[in-house]
Amino acid sequence: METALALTALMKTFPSNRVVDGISLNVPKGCFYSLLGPSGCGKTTILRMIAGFAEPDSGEIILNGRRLNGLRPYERPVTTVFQSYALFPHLTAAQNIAFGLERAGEEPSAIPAKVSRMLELVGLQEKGDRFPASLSGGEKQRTALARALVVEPELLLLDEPLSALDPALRKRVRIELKQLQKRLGITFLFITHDQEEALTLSDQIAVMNKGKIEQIGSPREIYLAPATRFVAGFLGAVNWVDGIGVRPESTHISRQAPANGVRLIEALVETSVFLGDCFHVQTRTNAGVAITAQVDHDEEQYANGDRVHIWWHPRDELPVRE
Amino acid sequence: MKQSRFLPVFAALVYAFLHVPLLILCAFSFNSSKFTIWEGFSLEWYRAMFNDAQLAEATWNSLVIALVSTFFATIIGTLCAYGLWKRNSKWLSGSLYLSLVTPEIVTGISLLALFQWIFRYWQVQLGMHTVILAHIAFAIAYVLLVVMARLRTAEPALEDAALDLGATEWQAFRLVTLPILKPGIAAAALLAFTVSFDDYVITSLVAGVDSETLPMVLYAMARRGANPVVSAISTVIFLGFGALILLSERMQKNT
Amino acid sequence: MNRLRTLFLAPAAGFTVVLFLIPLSIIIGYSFLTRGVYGGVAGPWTFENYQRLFDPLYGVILWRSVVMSTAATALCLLIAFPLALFIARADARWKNIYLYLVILPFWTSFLVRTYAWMFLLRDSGLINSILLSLKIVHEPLPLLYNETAVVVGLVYGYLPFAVLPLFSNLDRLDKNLLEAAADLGATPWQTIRHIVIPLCAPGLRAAGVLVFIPCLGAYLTPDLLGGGKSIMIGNLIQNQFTTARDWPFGSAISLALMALVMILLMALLRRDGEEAL
Repeated sequence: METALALTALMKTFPSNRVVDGISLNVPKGCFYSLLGPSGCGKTTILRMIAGFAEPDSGEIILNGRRLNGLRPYERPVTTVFQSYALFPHLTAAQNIAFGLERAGEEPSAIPAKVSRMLELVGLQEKGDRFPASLSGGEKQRTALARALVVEPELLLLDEPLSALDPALRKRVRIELKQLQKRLGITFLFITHDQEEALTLSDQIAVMNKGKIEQIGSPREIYLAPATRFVAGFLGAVNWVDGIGVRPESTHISRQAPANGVRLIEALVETSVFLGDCFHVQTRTNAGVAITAQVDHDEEQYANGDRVHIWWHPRDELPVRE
Repeated sequence: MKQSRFLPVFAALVYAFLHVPLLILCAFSFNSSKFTIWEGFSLEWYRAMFNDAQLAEATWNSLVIALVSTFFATIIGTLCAYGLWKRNSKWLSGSLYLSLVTPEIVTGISLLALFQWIFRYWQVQLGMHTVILAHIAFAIAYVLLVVMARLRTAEPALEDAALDLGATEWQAFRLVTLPILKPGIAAAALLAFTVSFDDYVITSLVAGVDSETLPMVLYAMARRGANPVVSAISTVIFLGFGALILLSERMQKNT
Repeated sequence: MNRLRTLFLAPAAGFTVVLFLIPLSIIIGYSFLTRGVYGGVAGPWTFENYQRLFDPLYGVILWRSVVMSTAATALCLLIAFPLALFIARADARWKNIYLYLVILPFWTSFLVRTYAWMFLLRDSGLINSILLSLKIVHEPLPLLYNETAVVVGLVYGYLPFAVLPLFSNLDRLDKNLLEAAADLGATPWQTIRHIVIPLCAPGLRAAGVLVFIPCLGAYLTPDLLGGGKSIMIGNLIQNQFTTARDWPFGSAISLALMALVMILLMALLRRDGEEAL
């Protein structure tokens, strides 16, 4: 797989702390690659360094074999979808989209066609003449996307582009975004703090914490085989029992002790939480450890105070130890 | 909350205090007598005003000075505001704000001192050019104030987006920030014009013998005593400026 | 990028240095020199000009200026506060109109507005005409050419400077606080006294300084409305640079005034930060 973007040992220090501390990663061409991490982990800074709004203190940024360090943003074949969309308020949606083409010296007669094709692609055919003020949140986001894609960048950076949308809209836009990327084949670098978003959208994920990369892998790998405790906890809930980690959906409950070949522990039911698609039953072992087990609707329900057995398959244990 | 009657009544009185003196002046400019007893409607004083050659020349001077200084001050001030918005320069912004609070008399005499000192070495006199230079100097700070206020509400990410899409820094300024700033720049220009046209203190100190301005003539007439022509001039100025302000509000609304 | 920024700042920097900072420096220099024989300045260097500031002859003028400015400022605050409160409480669609009505007279000519008061107050002015024709007095009242007239003129001229910062402060007050006070049993007056006024202290400070400074440096108002007997610092300075031709002394007075202005501003900025504007 050809590498589009290669970051090597990137460092950026602000007066008080090392915001980016030796980041190295390779983004394959055509990949939907996510940088996942909590606020303040340095992912936005990395984005700004790739786009050209900040320079690393040391380290290399290489895009398709070309070194980007020191180049101004307008000299880089990289475009960005900003978190606030940053649509030009005095231009219509179509004019916003045309902006990058005009700067690139595109043939003026060829621009309208490219713009309408892009508007169609993101589903905004009728809205080209609207000003950003009269567009909805979702429409603004699509305009920002169209504007960044129409110039056919070698790499598209997306800075938490879905965070301003409400949850229902976010799920729909996610799917459209993934389809768009597959269709165009452009390499996407997506940054987010939402692990569900990263898991559903990405081909590859790099999990970051405090300026460093904790793990790189496919969504499956990261979720099922986390390399560090941080990754395990960030991607989803974990039950830690005697140093072993198991996810609630792999943690089962029964009244009787189940068959052999499973790990077993006794516990007392404390409370059940209804999550819509299942129950999370919170229990406590004799040793005082809290364990959450997932119970589906059609299974037996448990009442507070019930004595139960908690069990799981060894194969469901997370490879990382506490 | 229960509102007492006090506030609205008080406010009405204050507005009366602010506006009645001017309205009375306007009303009496149409008085056929030059005494402060109403004797009938007349445009006599307006006729006298229009026929006054000295007044006409002074008004012309004031217009020229105001237009020229507004033009330069607006451009210089806007560029300065933009530059300071990108990255502040403490000495420059500090000096400019200081010039805003410096009493006009101090600004005036200091400029007079400067010009007199220059004229020792350079064969020049006080005149329109010295007035224009002085006006540009103090108007820049006013323009800076207005445009800076506008810039503070602007989204910095917009210029980033422009750069990201291939615009150079100059293009980002010209194509993105400048269009968005237009209403603010217009308001700043209007303020600069008003301040320049109306200035007496500084102008009187640095004007030459042949560059009388309207405020200077007005001042001399006011000093000399009751003169209904002054009322007529005042009315015209008041209405003129009032119209300009309304125009500026109209422009501001179209943001 | 830096080149562009330097280019943008250069003209303003040029004007500021040549037409503001240098003239100010010249004045500073002059304040330490002596009066020339034919006016202008000459050596030797001396502190004499500053010593003269303490001369009772000029002390009176300085003192009068401070007193009148303080009076004008106090009146402005007293008038502006209820007005600002009124506007802040008004419906959103009226607020702008009310503000506009306050600013409108201010944006027209200052000279014209000062003359309006001459028209009203002089012996042959409107007020005296009315009083005389109604036989309330038999001789015109000397309303013009005294300190009271100057104070009225100052208040008239600088009232908007007091209203705007007060309004801005009051408008930003959390309405919930007022409701909470009422909820806990406070009368409207008590709410104003114990909650609104203390919270509005920054606005009051800003308004006070923004009115006091121009009043202190006023020239036109005392000149036109005060006659010869109530001149202020501004008139004294002008006098030194024209009639008296004592530039060094005039410079010293100017610098003293500037120093006072800057002290006040620093105090305000230190207390309340940069939101004064």
